[in-house]
Amino acid sequence: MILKTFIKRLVPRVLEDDISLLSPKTVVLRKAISHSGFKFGLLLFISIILLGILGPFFLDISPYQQDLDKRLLPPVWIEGGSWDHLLGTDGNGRDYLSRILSGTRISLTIGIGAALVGMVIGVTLGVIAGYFGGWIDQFVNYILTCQLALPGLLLAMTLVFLIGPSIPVVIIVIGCLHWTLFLVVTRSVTKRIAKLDFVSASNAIGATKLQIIIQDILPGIINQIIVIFTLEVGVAILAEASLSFLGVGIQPPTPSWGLLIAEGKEAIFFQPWLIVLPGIALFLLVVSINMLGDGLRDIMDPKSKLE
Amino acid sequence: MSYSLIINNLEISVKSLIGYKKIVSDFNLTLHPGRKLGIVGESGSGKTLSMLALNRLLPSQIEVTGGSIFFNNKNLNNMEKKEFYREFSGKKISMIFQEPMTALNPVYTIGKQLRQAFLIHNKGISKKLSEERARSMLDAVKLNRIEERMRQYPHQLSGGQRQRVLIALALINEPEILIADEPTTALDVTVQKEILELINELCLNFKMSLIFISHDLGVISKVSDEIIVMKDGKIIEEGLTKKILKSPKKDYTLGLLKCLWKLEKGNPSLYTDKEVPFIEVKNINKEYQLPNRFFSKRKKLSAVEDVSFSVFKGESVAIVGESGSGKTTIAKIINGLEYPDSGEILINNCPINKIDLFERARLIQPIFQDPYSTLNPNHTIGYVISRPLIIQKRFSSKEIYHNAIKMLKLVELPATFFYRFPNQLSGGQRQRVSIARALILEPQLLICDEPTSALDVTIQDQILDLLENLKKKLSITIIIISHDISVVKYLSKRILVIKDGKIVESGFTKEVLENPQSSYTKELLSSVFRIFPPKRNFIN
Repeated sequence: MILKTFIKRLVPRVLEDDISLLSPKTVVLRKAISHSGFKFGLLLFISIILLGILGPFFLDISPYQQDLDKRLLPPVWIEGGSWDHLLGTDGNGRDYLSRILSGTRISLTIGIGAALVGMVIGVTLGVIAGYFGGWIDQFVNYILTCQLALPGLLLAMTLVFLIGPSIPVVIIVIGCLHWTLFLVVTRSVTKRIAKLDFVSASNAIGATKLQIIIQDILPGIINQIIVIFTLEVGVAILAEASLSFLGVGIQPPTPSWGLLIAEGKEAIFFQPWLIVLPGIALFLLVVSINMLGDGLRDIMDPKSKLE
Repeated sequence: MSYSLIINNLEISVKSLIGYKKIVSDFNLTLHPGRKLGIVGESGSGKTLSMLALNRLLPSQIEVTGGSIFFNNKNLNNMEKKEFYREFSGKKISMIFQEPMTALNPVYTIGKQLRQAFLIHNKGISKKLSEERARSMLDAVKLNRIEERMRQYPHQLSGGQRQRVLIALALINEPEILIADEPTTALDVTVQKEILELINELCLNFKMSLIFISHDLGVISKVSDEIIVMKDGKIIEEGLTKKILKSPKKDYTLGLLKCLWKLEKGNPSLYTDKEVPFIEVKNINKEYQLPNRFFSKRKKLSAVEDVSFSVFKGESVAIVGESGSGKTTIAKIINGLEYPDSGEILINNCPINKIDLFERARLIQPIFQDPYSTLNPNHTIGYVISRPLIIQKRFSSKEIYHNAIKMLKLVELPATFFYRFPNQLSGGQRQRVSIARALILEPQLLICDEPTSALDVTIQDQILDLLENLKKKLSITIIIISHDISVVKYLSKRILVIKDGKIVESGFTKEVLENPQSSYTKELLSSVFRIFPPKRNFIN
């Protein structure tokens, strides 16, 4: 109740017919408040982040402490589980809840970091290729073809092996391998927008090419970028999992969700929670980011109606 | 063969969560064999919807909610879907659509599409016979080189040729009623004239009746005996074409006609102060390279060839030509958005490529044709209008805001539009915004590229008035580019007729229009269906 009155005071109420009197910021705020998918996604995302940051402080069991007497304990709700280890233990007797919580931080960093790296590369190349066209476009297309022809995982393995595995290296390597989707989409949308009259009009008022790209073209492709970004976060987390599984990603005993799944793989038929639990965590994270992204797209789009 | 089509109190509604909302009501129509009926109205008046309802082609959210359609005393509304498609659609009633570029399937040859249309209603006919039929239809719509056309794909034909193929498709099953929905709107005027003549002739030969939908009274007057005027889903006025054009009974129709009469009367206030050449275009050439293919030479397309002219200060000059004549390229070159291959453009005796960007922006501003792509959908109107000042970086934010509000007032828009987004505006309002954006830098030259051709007649009238007022108020020079002779006549003092990138004829508008010298200008003028004001003013 208090929250609702607070929000009402925050957002000036205007008659429905007078939406045009609101400033764009107020409209976006009101759209955000009325968009349930966005609110749910935001809530979930924030709680995952808070759990990742604050969780380890409240749990006084170390994710690295082994106890070989208590190997492969099931979670508390399955017969044989105990309250000492809420989500059971893994093959080395380490507390699983603690491992998942501290894995949150690593998976989030890698997922979002790698998607950001991919976005920067892909969007830059895509906008440049789409806007300038000609030989620049052909050159970028050539790079794209090369990238698509390379076996991604193999390349990532080689690179990580050569440089040496660490979190920044994994982020950059995964990011450098996941920009093709950004490139393809931004290039085609940029091409379409660059032909429109308002770009010519901006030319005529003396705007520089950089101004046109930033002020005219980027706002038009931001929605597509958001959607791809949310997809790529999930893909990057899974790519990290496969790298870790192959032994060139995050090095054990550091817990990451991908590594947890990889380690639990042998026990899939006997202790399925070893895979299911980090799987659920991964699912919740990807869902929250997807909902957040979809919501953001709806809210930022001036064409969507305020309800 | 006698038949008739009677539509009684037709009512069409949009289905939404709340319920039904009427968009067409009390639509009555009686069509007798051999009659030609025109339906005229502005966009959104329901003229197309009512005809789609007759053909059962309404979009999914829209339904017929009342009234009846009788064809030979058979109620079409109660008929089973299957039976309707088998007995009527394409066979008794046939339709031609507006956009000839998208109405044909791009992956089948013309011949195959014609044969398919014939086979739907004549199952089990041999390939030879159906091919024969297709050929005779292409002959009937007066396409040349029929054998070649049969094997061609739609993209190999021009707009006018495609529209002919579409007419052949519509007529292949010898329908009794042909519905033509703006069939010539997307075509050039000279092609439009040919197509209209063809439709008139075919109606006689095939003994069809015709329902012709258009927003253009000039076109309607050419093809119809009777007219229905529609507005906001209702019939405003109906009667014989000649009568309505001479003495309309309703104010709305009169308003529509007045817009056209005004253009026809011309504009007495076209004046120039001094004959100082403001802009000089000297022998410009522009070629475009067509995309190259493997193992073949690059082809070149010459868009502008050796064009020179000059425009004096405070004058308005029109460039007239059909699509593909290079008129838009000339506009872009003058504006500095494209560079000529050779030749030069002098503004106040200074070559345009030596003027820096900001300076050029304060000299020349463009207004574009399509109101839907001229404004960035992600920016508010306020930002769109003030952006030229923001980019110039010489003004405080307060100055910019006040200037933008002033501009909104100047183009007769309320100041509350400042925070709106373009998608909340109508086409005419968007065009006003784009005029405001062009004028905020107080340029000396406006280049208007078909500023009104995407707008309804009454909106066109308002925008032309606005341009005219602004010209007087701010004494700016205007170069107007158009295919529409009447708009040109109203706005410009001098005229350049252009064809295939070359100037064919130039001179004072009045002289050129009254006494055209070149054969192309003559052809262009004879293709325009003008509506002359009555000799005696019966109202004013």
